[in-house]
Amino acid sequence: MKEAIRNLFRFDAPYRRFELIETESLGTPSFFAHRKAKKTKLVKEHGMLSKSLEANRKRLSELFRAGVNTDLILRPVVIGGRSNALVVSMNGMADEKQIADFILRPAFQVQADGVSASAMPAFFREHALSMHETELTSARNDVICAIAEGRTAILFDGAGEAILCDTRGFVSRPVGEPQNEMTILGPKEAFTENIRTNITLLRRILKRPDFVCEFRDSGGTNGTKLVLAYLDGTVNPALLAELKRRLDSIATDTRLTVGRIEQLIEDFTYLPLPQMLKTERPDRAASAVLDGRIALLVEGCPLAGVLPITIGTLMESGEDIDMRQPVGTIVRVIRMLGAILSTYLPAYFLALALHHPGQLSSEILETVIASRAMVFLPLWVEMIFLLLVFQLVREAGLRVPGSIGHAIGIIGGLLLGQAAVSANIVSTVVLIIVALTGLGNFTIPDYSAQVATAYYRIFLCIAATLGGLLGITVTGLCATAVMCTVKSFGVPFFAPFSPVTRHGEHLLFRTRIRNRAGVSDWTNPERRRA
Amino acid sequence: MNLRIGAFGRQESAAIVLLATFFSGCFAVDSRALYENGNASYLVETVSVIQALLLFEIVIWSLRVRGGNDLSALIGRSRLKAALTIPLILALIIAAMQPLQSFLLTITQYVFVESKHATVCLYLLPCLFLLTALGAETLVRTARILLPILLLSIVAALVSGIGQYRIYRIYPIPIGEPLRIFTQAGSAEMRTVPPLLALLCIGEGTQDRLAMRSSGRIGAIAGGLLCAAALFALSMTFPYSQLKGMPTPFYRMLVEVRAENPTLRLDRAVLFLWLCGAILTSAYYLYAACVLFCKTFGVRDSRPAALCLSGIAVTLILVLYYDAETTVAILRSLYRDAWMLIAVPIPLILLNLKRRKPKCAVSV
Repeated sequence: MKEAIRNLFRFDAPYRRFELIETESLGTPSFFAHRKAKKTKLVKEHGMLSKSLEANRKRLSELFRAGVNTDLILRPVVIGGRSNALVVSMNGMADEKQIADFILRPAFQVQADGVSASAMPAFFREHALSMHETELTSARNDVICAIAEGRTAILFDGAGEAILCDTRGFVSRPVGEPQNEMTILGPKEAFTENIRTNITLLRRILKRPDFVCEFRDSGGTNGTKLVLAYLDGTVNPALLAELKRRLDSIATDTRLTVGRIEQLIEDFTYLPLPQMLKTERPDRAASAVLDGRIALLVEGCPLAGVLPITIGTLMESGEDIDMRQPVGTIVRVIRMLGAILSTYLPAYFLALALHHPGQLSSEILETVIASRAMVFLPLWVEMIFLLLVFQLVREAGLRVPGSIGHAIGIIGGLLLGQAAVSANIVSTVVLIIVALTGLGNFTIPDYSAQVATAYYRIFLCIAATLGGLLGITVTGLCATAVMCTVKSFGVPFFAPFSPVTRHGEHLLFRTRIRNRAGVSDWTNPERRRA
Repeated sequence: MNLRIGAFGRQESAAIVLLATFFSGCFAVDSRALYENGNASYLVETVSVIQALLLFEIVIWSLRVRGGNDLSALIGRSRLKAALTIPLILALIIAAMQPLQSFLLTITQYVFVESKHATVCLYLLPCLFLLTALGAETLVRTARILLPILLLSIVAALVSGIGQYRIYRIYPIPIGEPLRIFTQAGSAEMRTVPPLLALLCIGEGTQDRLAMRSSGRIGAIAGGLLCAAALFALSMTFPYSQLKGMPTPFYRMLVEVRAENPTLRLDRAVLFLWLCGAILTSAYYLYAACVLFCKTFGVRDSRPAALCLSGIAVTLILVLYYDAETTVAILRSLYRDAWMLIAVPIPLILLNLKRRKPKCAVSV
């Protein structure tokens, strides 16, 4: 305290506050910001393993900062009583019991008389190692990646090779129920953060030899594992090649998830609508794969990205196909009506009330006037305010844990609405319209599409305020035209409706299940080509 | 070349031809001339579509003989390339103005009574420019999306007016004067030829001459029939003496229906739905004019031409509506804020300096 007071009055007090941006090497600040620092690329290890075990040990210790990073375990062993080796693993990532039982114990028991140092890795792998998934490598980068993933590397003295054993045993969340894509008739499994588990979930559905799960390293510095899941011989090879090319072009330092990858490889960055379906349901991803599309799984992300998509994909629920055909059609029509209603109702009401009151019947007009008698806000401000409040309640409900989230919805919906009406901030008619809009918005199955629609609605309200029905028409036409321009990985957004394809599932009416033989042709899959 | 023609199918190109034929034929009518000597608009429209189709077939035949997929391939071999192209471009601009002008009159007459023509134009210009700049693929796909809704609204309008139809109103029919019908049909070519002319200009996008021919035929015939049906319905709704001078009689028919049945208060919503069709039609013509211009004069990007032609079309609409003096006054008032036009592109140019290279596709 005394020191603080003294520093306050001492003008020559030394500058002791800890600062990074102001003092470190970003150079002279310009008018808007500091100069952008040059990006430094993380140099990947491209070398081969040394024949000297000591040199390999030193390099690994250096790379993993073994001095401070105590997670790295370097366990020296003498194999067969004559060959020096080093068992390297990452604490917590690798299963200790597997290492002890299947690597260390055989290492002490094996008889390796007459085996040369250079042949030892192959000999040990074939005669001693009782593990299922092993790999011989001489690339240093493979060893580094394997250790970081939780595998165990066995390095040998006098041999420029290492054995990589799959000992991954880290804790992961068990398969649970989907949180956002709940269905009544469909399966109740959801993807987890473990990429292996996710592949298993897909393989349990797709029991076909042509189902391929292609592992790839994502671009960028973190080296996150990606899996491209597709049916070989069905998927369009041009689509696959283009996806791989785009994935190879990723160069980012951020942690990669399906959502981030989507933004890094999509064509239309500024479009609010998603260009890749993000699903947490393995059955939905598997259906898409069967349909000739590609599912993208990312390590550490409990979602699968499905591409390409169309507007129909975004308006489809997982259990549509499980319902009976007439019921499924009715549900789809209701969903589409809900979506259209939620998008255009507030703007249409504003346009009629502000610019075309003659289009409202006298009864409705009287009700509107009566309900707004004491409200001091202009109608358009009231509408936009309530729409924003609705988004606020919704976002708050999403971000807080389960039961409190529901409570926030109830408090926001009931208490806040009631209080706002009583305080003459909003009118009952506008409240009803916003409530209907909110309900309609929830009929859109895809969360990203819901959010995009919510903000487009506000934009439409502004257009309706300015130009009435003319404003809505112009904005709606522009939005439709932009959506017609958009392509999700080469597939137009309104396919198979515009452009029309032969085997098109209708946007509105669900076709009979027996008419759905084969693969949809809007990705031009290989199996359907003439 | 970045002319944004793209590639599209037969249904899509037929859809845009259909919409353009209907909206030009039904909403861009010079009602004074058409109904001057009786009520034969539906016959005139039918004959005019047949004449336009004949011209279209001749051009397609010429393309087959000479080899080429679009009109510029045909013109390109001529020495008087520019002399041939400029009248066609002007014709397309005038055709683009017609439906818009008609809707502007309707909007200022029935909807925004106190609004000025220029104010309504301000709303239409950005939309027109965006559609024209986005290119043929977007235009035809938007037409394919809007076609069912627009057809439904048109058929609903025709059906809801049944109570108003009186067969005696179609008299007098100048059936005994075929020459007059043919003459009127000839002057109606400005409504029926542009949809096919524009299709010929963007023929490269149809991917095949045969596809262009079939989509042109289907679109023109379906659009012509729909237009003739609408004009016939109009003839049964209003006597020809009333039809003379109505800006958009088809909308007027809806208003009459509403007057009979006040619970149906959708006339304005339908009017603005039809406005989408009119904007789409105008953008289609303007884009075709852009392509023709760019191909003739070797311009590599269609967007500057799209901006210019949209501006020209809207300015001409204003000039035709107001007298020249008022238009000049409006333009002078714009000069006050014209500095923005110079200021706005500067940051865009600066941003463009560091633009990324576009992604290119991988061939397999």
